[in-house]
Amino acid sequence: MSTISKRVCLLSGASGKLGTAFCRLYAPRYHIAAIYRNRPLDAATQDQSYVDPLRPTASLPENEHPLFAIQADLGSDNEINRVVELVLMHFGRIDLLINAAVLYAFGAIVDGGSLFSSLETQFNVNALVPLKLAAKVAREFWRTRDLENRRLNRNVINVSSVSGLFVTPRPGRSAYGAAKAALNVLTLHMSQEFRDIGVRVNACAPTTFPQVISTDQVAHSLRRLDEGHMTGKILVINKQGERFLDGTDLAGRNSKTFQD
Amino acid sequence: MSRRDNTLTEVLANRRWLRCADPFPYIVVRDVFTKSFYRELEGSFQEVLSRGFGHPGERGRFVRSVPEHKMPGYDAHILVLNSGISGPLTIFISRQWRDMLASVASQHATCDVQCALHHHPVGSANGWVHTDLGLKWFIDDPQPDGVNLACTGRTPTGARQAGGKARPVVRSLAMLFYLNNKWAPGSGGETGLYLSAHDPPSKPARLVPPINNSLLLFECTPYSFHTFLQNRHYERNSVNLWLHRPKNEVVARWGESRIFDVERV
Repeated sequence: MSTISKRVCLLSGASGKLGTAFCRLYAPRYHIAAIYRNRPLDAATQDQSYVDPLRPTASLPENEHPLFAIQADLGSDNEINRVVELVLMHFGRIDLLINAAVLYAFGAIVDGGSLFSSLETQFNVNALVPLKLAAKVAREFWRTRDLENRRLNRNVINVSSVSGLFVTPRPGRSAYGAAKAALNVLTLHMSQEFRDIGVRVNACAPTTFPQVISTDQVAHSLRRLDEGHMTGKILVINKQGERFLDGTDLAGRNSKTFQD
Repeated sequence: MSRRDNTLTEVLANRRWLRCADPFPYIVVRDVFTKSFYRELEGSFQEVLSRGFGHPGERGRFVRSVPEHKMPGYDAHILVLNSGISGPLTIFISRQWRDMLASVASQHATCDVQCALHHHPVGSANGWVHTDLGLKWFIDDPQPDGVNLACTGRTPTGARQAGGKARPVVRSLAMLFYLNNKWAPGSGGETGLYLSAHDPPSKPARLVPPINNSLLLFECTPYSFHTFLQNRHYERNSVNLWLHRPKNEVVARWGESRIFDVERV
C-alpha cells in the first residue's frame, strides 16, 4: 500500500476528453486511479512514461505524478468489483469517485438500427454503472467510516449532461438523454442514502464540450464540487454559466430555466 | 543527392514521446513534426504515389512485391528508399534520425538502415502476427553521414555478383510513421500489438491507429508481436524503417532459432 499524502480519486472514463483533461490538470493534486476501457491513456502511468527523444535521460515534469491505470470494462459487475478492490489495495482508501465513463449512440427511434442495438448498453454505462461503482466503494470502504468520511469530505460526482434535463432540439438523443435523466434522479437518491455514511453525492451536467464550453471548464467544476460541501445537487454548466439544481427543479417547477 | 539541412530541433513538434510497456515495450507519438514539415512529407509521399505502381524491381515507383518483401499475407505496395532519393523524406535516412531513434530506445544499433514507403490500398487484408526479428544482409556502402542503406538485391548472392561481401545483421528497432491517411475509429488500417504469436489478428492487446503525423517505435525481440490490420474504408500509408544490430548479439541473447530471414520469407 502506498503512503498517501493526497486525496485518492477513482476516475472512470479516464481516457475520454473530460477524463484526460482532469488528469492533466489535477494529477499533482490527487492520486488518480484512472479507469479506461479501450482507448489508451495519454498520460504517465505505472506502465508508461514520457521521454524527450533528443534528451532521453532528462527528467520530465509530465512523469512526476503517474496515474494508477486500470483497464476494465465496467459493464461487467465482476470488473467493478475488481477495480474497487485493486484501488483499495493500492492506495488504501478512496476519497473521491468521479463517474465520467460515458457511452452514446444517437439515432432516430423510428429508424431503429444502432439506437436499438445500444439501448441496454447506454443505460448501463450512463446510469447503472455509476450507481454500482459507488455502491461497491460504499460497501467495501465507506460504510463503516462515517466520521472519517465527513472529516475528509469524501464524495461522489456523477458526470451527467444537460441532455438529461430537457428534450434537446438536436434529434436522436432519446436513449442518451433518458439515461442521463435517470442518472440525475439516481444522484439525488444516492445523496440521501449516502448521507448516513457521511459521503456527499452530486452530479455535474455540462452542455457539449469542447464545442460549446471548454473541457477544462468542466474539469475545474469537478474540482469545485469535490472541495465544496453541497450534496444532492446537479451543477448545470452551459454557455450562460453555472447554476445548481436540486430535486425541486427536477420535478419541473423550474424547467423553463434549462437552456442548452 | 540533396539531403535536407533541417535539424531535428527545428522540425520536431512533439518532444514528449510516450513510452509504454504493454503488451511489449513500444513508443507512440502524436504530432511528431511541425505542421509545415509534415505537409512537406505528405506532399513528397503523394508525389511518389502519383507515379503509379511499377513492376517488381522497378525503381522510383511503388511495387507490389520486391525481393526482400515477398511476404505472404502482407498486402502492401512498397518503395525502398535508397541513396537516390531527395527531399523531405530523406530525414528518415539521415544520421541524426538514426541516432535519435537508437538513443530514445536505448539501443546500440549499427548504422545499417532499411527504410521504405508502404501503401496499402483500401481492402488490404490483415497481415500475420509476427515479430520483425529478421535477418538482413548489408553491403558496406555508407552515405557521407555514415548511414548504410539497404537496397534491393543486397543478398549474399547479389553481393557476390556485384563483387562484394554481404554482412548479416538483425533488425533491432522498427518504426512506422503514419502519413497521408484518412482514418476514423472503425475504419481499420491500425497496427495491432499482441501478447502472443497465437493471438488472432482481430484480437490485439493494443491498437495503434494510423493517425497522420504519428509514429510507432519498438524494439524487435522474440516478443514484439504485431501486424497490419485490414483497412476497410481508406488506404493506409506509412514510412517503415528498421535499425539493426550484429547478428551475434541477437544469437547470444535469444538464440538463432528466433530469427527469421527477411530475404527468404
